[in-house]
Amino acid sequence: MMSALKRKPARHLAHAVLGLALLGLMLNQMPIDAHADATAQTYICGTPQSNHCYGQTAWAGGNYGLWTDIWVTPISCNGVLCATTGFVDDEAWLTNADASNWVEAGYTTIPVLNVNSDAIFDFTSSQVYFWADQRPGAGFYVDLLGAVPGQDYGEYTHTVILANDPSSQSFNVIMWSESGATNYWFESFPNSMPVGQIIVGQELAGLGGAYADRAYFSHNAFATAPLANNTFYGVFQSTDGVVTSLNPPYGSWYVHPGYSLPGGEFTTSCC
Amino acid sequence: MRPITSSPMPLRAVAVLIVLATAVLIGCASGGDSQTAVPSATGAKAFAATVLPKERGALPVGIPAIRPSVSGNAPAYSLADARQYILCHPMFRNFMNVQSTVTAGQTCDRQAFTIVLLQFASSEEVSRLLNRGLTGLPANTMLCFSELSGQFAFPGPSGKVVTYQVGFEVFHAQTGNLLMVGGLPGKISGSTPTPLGRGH
Repeated sequence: MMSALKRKPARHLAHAVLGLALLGLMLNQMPIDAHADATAQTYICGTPQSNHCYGQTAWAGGNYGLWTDIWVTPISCNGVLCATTGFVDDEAWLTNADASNWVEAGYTTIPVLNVNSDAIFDFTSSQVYFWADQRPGAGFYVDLLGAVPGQDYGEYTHTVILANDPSSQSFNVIMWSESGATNYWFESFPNSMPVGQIIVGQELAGLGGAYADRAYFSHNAFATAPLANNTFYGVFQSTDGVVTSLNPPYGSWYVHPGYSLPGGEFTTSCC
Repeated sequence: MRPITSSPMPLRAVAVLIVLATAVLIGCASGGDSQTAVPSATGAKAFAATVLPKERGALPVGIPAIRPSVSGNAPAYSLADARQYILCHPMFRNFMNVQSTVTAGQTCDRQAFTIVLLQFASSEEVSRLLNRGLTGLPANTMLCFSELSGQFAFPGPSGKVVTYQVGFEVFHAQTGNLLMVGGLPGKISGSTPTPLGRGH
């Protein structure tokens, strides 16, 4: 089955030509392209009082877990605001019904100290794989796994969050790339969270400085059984779910579920 | 003699019209919206049964953080080095970070938290302290664990924000890399960690 999943994001000729047409209109009518300076856009996405911004889609249910293939593209977050509370990421969440508990996985920007510099505050934006959980009765834990390998860009990273047998009260967090450069498998334990929702998309925090190239979330599926025989048993999503796009980040269906691509293809970008 | 020129505007307008017309023609030829025109035989009810990777994956390496100052075996830095890093640098994803801490030349005393526990400990011990499954590293891997007291707020899905009075950061003792951050529901220092029951 995986061989059937290995394909690049759908490209549709009509859309491409239409995009060219729209670009032509912009060039004709706008002496300066408003999106030329990608880091110029400001936004209000995240303080303790104002929540983060999302370009995402969410499905109620989820049974035992989720599968999504994230088409990895460059993201960055630069400047002082990004070194404190700002970031942008592409990820998937498996939550309970009211999203008060969750397990999440994907890649995010993070300010990384330049260890070869004598300056205390010498940061550059790095793009790293991560996973995190907020388990019932426990705290919030973020695991920083490592930089996204160069080979992963322009390839799918399969992202799976899947329950073990319910008696074990645990979830598997699995990420592996088609390039072969990434292969992670961790366990959220002890975790008695009842699955209530699947979310995929982009999260944006801060006031400016973030950029995210267009990413794709394909082959979206929910699990119909806990992990058994090292196998993911599931059904592709057949509906759009509830789409949120706070512009930025921008989130929309590129290929709706149930048509030419099983599980559809959701796309995000910023800013 | 006046040179023969043409206005750039009409040329651009013509180009746009040509592109638009092409788009319309191709769009019509393909039956309109290509996203919705081709129902899939395997679409809505497709069943996925996919074998997952057999290997249990790579070890987390974290991100560069504390500069190693001691050569040889772990730990490659002192607790004083760790303390300086923690106090001088914002905690990843913590809403409560103080912006001024990242302004060059500032002193490192403006964080909204204090360090209440800082120690080198094995990966297994850190898992027990955090009441969480394995860190992903071998049980005997030496780490640096810090418990912090203050205000911590982290983002969740769909606008959720979780707040804590206790925070933590975990570093690799040999590389100095930052491996984990987060918030805890209660103090670790002075308490007895809850046995995890398995996995150790």
